[in-house]
Amino acid sequence: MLILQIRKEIVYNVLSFRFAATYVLLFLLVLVSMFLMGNEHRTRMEHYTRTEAAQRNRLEELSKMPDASQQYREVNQEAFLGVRQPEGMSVLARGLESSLPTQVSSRQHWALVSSDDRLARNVMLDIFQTPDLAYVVNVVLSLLALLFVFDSVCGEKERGTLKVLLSNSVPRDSVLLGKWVGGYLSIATPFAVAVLGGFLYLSLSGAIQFDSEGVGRFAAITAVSFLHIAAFFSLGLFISTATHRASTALLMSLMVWICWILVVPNVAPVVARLAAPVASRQVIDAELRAIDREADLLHQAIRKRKVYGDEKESERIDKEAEHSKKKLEQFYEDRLTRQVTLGKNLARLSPSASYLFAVTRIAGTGSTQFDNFRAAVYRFQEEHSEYQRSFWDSNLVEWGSGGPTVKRDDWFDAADVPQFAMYQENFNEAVAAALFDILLLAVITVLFFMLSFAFFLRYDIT
Amino acid sequence: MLLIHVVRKELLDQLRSLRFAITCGVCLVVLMLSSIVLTRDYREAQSTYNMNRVIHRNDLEQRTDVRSLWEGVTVDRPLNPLNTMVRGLSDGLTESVKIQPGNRLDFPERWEQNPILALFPSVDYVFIVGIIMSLLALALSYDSVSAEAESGVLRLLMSYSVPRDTVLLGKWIGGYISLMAPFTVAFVLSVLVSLLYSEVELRGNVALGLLSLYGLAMLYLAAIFSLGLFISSCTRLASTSITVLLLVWVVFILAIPNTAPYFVGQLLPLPSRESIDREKQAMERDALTKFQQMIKDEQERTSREDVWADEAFRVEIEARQQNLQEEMEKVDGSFGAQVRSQTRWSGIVARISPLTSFKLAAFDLASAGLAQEERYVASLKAYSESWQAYTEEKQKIWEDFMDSRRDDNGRVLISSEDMEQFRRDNRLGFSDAPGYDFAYMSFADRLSEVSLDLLLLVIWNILFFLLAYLSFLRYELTG
Repeated sequence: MLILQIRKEIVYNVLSFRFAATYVLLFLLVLVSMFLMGNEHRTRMEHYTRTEAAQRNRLEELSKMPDASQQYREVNQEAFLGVRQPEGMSVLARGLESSLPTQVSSRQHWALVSSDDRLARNVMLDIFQTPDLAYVVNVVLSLLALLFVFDSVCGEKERGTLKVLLSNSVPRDSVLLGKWVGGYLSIATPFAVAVLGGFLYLSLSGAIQFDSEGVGRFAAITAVSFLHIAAFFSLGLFISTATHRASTALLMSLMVWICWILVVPNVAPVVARLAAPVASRQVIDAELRAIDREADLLHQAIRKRKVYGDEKESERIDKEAEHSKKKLEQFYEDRLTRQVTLGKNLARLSPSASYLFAVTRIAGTGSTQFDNFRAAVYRFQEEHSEYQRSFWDSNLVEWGSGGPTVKRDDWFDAADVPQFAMYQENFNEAVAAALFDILLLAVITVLFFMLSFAFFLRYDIT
Repeated sequence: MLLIHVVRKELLDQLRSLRFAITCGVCLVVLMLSSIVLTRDYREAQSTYNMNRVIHRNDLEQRTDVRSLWEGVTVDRPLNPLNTMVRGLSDGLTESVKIQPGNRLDFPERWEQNPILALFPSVDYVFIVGIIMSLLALALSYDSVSAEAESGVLRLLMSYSVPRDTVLLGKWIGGYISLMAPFTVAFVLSVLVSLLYSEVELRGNVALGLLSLYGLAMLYLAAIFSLGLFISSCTRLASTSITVLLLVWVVFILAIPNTAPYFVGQLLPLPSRESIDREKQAMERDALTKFQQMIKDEQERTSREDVWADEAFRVEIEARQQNLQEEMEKVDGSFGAQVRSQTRWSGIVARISPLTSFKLAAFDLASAGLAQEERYVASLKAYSESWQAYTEEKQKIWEDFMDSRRDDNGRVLISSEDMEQFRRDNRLGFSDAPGYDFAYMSFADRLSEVSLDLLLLVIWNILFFLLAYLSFLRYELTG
């Protein structure tokens, strides 16, 4: 009985005009998105390999210098580059990938944007949103899912077919389940085909080098996308069972869609910023400077009292200043983390945000990428200052009137230069971390199906 | 007279429908919410801005050493009150830029903030009108012809002596009024809210900006509404027309503008910023080795250490340095030209969608667009130059003072009383440093910037309405 129901639903959908139109649109959008994002990723990878190669060449050049003293001077002045490899899965979910720098310097505390960079980019990319798969699924497919299902119950009632159907000995639950499965299959199948086509394109054109982990991530992102579509499909079915006219159902669906997709997740971060304010970075920097200045004044006071200073006292002052600076930084970080968490939780009022968080987490382009990147930059710069300091400490260099003289000729080894390395979650960890959001999506899917079941049982078919 | 009747009928039809109620609700809630949130955000930004200015001013006034002027100064971009409506291109409402002599500008790092903000677009006026209101405009217009044809009302109506053009015009006016009425109310309320909650004064530029933003929304929504009417008079069934319209909406509003820049990026690829920097570095390194070689050759030829005494040689080296500078500027210039051409073509392709015209025009009208950004950077560069002049002037005062205290052996002897006197004369105080002054574009400038987009929107309006008219003239009444 159920199978018959499903079959009827699929046949009805497939024969409809909207199926044809949706199918074409879906296929085009998914493929165009993967084509454009894939090619963009390839260009980024090319830039990355070129920068990386240039950096390696430079190291080689440095290690081949004949004059050790000259070599030391160059190494001492060199700003080494840390090059960040673009995340492969950003093709599917761009996330924060493009808002993080691709290279950092070992010298400046924070990599700075120079004036040319400010306008040396295509600003149209910033004005519009990135058309990655996550966007297509989140915005377009959720709308199409609602478009497919809004009249599945109330439309049949209007046409009168529901009355005829239920006059046979079909239980209402199997009718509803049949509608859900049939309708879902008729939107999920074209999507699956389109994604498969995109996958083939990406792997055959070499835009992404897929390893087993990459395939796993791709599959997981696709699976979460199916779940997201299912959530919106259930929502549409619920609206359809809660209304008695197709036009009403359509309007309600559109309204809920606007609120859930366009309003709630996008307003949430700003609301969080107001609810859990964080002082601007400049204020924190100014306070850090004030601590330094205070320590300076204390030092001066000591020098006034004692000509040769008081080593113990100075050390204590330095330590205290260091301590309060660390505390301030910690305070700033804590407040920022609180704000981020609040923003995330507020956004989760909409399944769209859960979907985006889950997908970017699996793709490795979510807010953890930001944290990892920040940690990596910090580590990279620390290691470099440590590296420079090691030459001082090892008494390698003698400073004369003609500049530095290096005692050993073979002091420099390119392999010793600290490299930029970013921690990346492996597939299992990423999925485990995204599980909460995936679960939320599943709960919403089931909840709305249950609601529609409750409403359909009491549905007035005449 | 007949027209008024048709308009009245259409208006009454709309007003009693559920979708009108939904439109009212969504308009009010979304616009007010966004206005409250963004205005409060703006207020926070005001205090941040004031604090930053004090910090940066103090930082300057506490300096006593001339050399510290070469380290530059940090300035803040003034707030733009229209940012409460249009967030525009810049990431934050406030921005502190470090200016150094010699045209060096250090912008703050963009990624060092709350990362969640980058994941979601902000819900401002442009987003609300461009996406949400355009969808509502379609929801109000999708069945204006096809549903009446389905229910047979249209047949009845046409059996009277009403010309078709009057019917269509009446439908357009009635439907458009029922779309714009709730929008206007919500808009006025949201402006009132932002005036109440912030210290923004409704004066000259701001008032004109708000008014022009409202007018722009009217134009854009009229185009979308006409599109709905056109599709409605092409189709026989309301369900078909909504399907087609939603798909058209997805393509025009969501797909085309977002994919256009990437598409153009494929066709007109850009070299990476890093490769340009590498190229420049290589040029510099080559030139340096060449200079060293030249100096060595010259030293060997003349067998003198001090080759700079030779006027001809020095001129030649300087000419070569000049040449190198020009070459490097050329590399930068060609990169800039490539970026501009990619941006320009992205804009052209994206303008297939009326949303692009609306968005870019709104950005410019709120002085938050590309033209404004270019002026901003130019003004920072000009400030950097005046800062350099100021630094050099101060340096000169200091050097003159040193020279005046130089004894016969060329040693500088400054007694502490001298120094005190010098300080007291305030010749090394930096309170007379040039201030950074930046004015947003005047309204006339902004208007001339957007004239092309306005024209495009008018063309879309006329085109869609004409198409609707043509297909309605040939509309088959009997099914």
